Amino acid sequence: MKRSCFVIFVTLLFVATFMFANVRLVFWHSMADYQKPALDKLVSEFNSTHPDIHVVAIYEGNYDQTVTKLKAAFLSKNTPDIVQLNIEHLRIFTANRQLLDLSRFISETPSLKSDFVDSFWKTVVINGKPYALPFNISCLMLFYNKDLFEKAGLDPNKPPRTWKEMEEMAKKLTVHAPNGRTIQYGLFWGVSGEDTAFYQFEPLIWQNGGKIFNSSMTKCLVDQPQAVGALKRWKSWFDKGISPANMTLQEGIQAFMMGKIAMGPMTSGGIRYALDNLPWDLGVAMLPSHKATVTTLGGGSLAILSNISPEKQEAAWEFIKWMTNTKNTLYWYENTGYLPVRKSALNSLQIRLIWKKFPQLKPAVEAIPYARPRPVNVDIIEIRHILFNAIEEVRHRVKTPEKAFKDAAKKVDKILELEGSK
Amino acid sequence: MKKIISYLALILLLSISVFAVNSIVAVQIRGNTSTKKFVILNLIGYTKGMKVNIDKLAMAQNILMSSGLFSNVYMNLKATNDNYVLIVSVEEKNHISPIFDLEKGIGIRENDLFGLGIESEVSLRCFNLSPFKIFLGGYSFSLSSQRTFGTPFSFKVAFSDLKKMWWSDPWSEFYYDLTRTTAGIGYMLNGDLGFIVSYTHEDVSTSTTAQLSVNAISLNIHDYPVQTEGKRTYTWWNLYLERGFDNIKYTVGAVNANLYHRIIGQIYYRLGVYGALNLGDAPFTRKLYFGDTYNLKGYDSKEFDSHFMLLLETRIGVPLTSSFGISKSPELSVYTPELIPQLALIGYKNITLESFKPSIGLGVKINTPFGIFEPEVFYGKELGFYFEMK
Repeated sequence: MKRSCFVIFVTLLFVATFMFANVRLVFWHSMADYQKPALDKLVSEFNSTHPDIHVVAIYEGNYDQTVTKLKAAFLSKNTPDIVQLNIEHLRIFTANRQLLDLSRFISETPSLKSDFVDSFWKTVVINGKPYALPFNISCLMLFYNKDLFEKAGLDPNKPPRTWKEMEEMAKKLTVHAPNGRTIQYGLFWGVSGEDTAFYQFEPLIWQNGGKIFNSSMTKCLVDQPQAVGALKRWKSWFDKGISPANMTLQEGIQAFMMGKIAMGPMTSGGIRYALDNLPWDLGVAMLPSHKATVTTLGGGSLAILSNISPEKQEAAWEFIKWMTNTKNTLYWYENTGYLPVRKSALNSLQIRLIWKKFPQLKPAVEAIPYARPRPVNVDIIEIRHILFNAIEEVRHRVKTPEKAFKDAAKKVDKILELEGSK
Repeated sequence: MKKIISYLALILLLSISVFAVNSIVAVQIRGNTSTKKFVILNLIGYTKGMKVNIDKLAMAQNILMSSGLFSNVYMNLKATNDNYVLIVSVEEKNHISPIFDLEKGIGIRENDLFGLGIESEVSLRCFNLSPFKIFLGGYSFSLSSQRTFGTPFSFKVAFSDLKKMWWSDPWSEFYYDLTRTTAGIGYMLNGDLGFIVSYTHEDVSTSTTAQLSVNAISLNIHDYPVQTEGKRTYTWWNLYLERGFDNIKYTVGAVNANLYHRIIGQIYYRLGVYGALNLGDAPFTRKLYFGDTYNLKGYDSKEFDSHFMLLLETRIGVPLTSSFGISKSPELSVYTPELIPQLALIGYKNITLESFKPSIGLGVKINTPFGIFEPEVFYGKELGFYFEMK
């Protein structure tokens, strides 16, 4: 009896919470594992400070899975109200006007737009209209094992600044057993093949002075000498034995975590995870440069669906604006490593206090001027998988770098051509 | 290129400390619903016109976080003419928590009494532990603060009236009735290091002795890190010395040093060393014992009556999530099973194999909204069950 009363009481309390909240919003996101508690804390704080709005945050898988689920949700007319989308996936939904144009809200608070970091803001503007607010923006950084650097006689506070330095250090950091077997590799430049495919390879092309597409995104340029040169250089790291050729990205990350690989590129969004879990001292630095100093900008944004009621639109705007305010973007930065999206945050006292606690978070902020957004397109997921498959063919010695990128460029051009004819 | 130069200028601005020469002329406190503003100002160590110093402000933030009053502290500076206003936004923690402890009993703890940052505890114990043939009764209350009103001064006032009865060997039908009053003051030398000097008066009646009146003065020096977040390794220690005077003269002392190290992921070990020394004719209520709920577990608390005792304890913990997966962050850790081997050395003269007392324990830390609940089971000489709520 007592138990039944308790269950009824809790149910009533739960129902009452929803009843008193005038607007209930469903928020789909892609933040799993260690990022989820930080996101949940923000959502919970929003709910407690906004009694008229109740946001229900639901994890819907990684970015690519969210795209698939959202497409299905539109077909079944069962969409969420707010969605966290990879900045490169926004175009997939703006093409059919499925995301709300935020111009009206932005014009109501003119200071808001100017406070977002310019390069981040550009990632959410399509044909002159903002369709989201930048939320979890990251850039690719060089993660390295300070303990292994010290063991190899290298200065753990002087990470490589150029490709040449990186190759030289990687050679020193590669350790062989007496039987000749490599027991520690100096470098692993792993490239993602699933979610965010080809992400880690893009800066190599740019650093070598190349381009992936022409400026109008009508032609793929990976068959050009600079891109092919980057692929050749990448292949040489396997050929020289300073990088393991037979590891997937996940295996490489595991080996890096276990101290069997000394350095590699990883997203700044993983810095806090690394600090909380690695069994050795982590160093974070800007990606080594070659002909140019560049890194890749990636990450997600918060968008509002266009098919929701005006009342919900107002509430959803309040939510995404709150999630990206100076205080919350700094909380998110400190607890994940995703970059603060507001200029006021970059110039704040709090960010300096965060650097005191976690100095490894600072280089990612210093890399912002060099961070280039990834090229975007309606069919970008398919295109990236073609490019990823090309480099995999080189890694597995199925094709030469020239042939792999030539074939890939042809395939991508076909897609771009079809797109243009629509 | 122009863009890069402008970004570099911004970064340079951040790096070279634009705040270095300016002063903080005021502080705005936001988000405090219970804690008084002056307490927070004292915790920050604010003095009008203080220079903006990142190291000092970082320490102030750490002190605010380690005060136990706040779950989040956010600091910002607002420019005003040539100076700054420091804006401190705090999120207060739930200030009330339950006490569930075999020694103290069941009670309640409020760590922000009247918004003054003072911790108060009231507890009552009335346990008739028939399987262990022990009765524990009485009550206690205390007021204390590591940083009184936010200042570096500490204080402690405590009173307890405790009764305990055994009706098993070797303490068959032995009981005591103890009233204890303690008052102490101290000082925090910096963020981590502090000391407290206390006076204790006890009146003890037992079934075998006449009433004793004990007066003692003690010194406790402690060093606890104010900021452990993100650190793989850190240490903490405390040193306790007590001298009985007036009727009963004695000296007891204890040292406790700990090392925490995160091995990989959230898996950790904690190494603890505890040493105790009893000199003179210390009454049994003031003597430092091994066993029971403290230190060496799995043995009777009064089994060892030695001048010197040393204990080594290791705790190896594997934090798990709510779905029993390996935890990837402290926030995701809900259950932490611990393996706890202990080895004690009792006495220092004529050390034989008998002088070493091993014990092995298994425990699980459970994170609940009210605190950490920690049941443990140990096997030393006998099986012992223990639980604590922190």
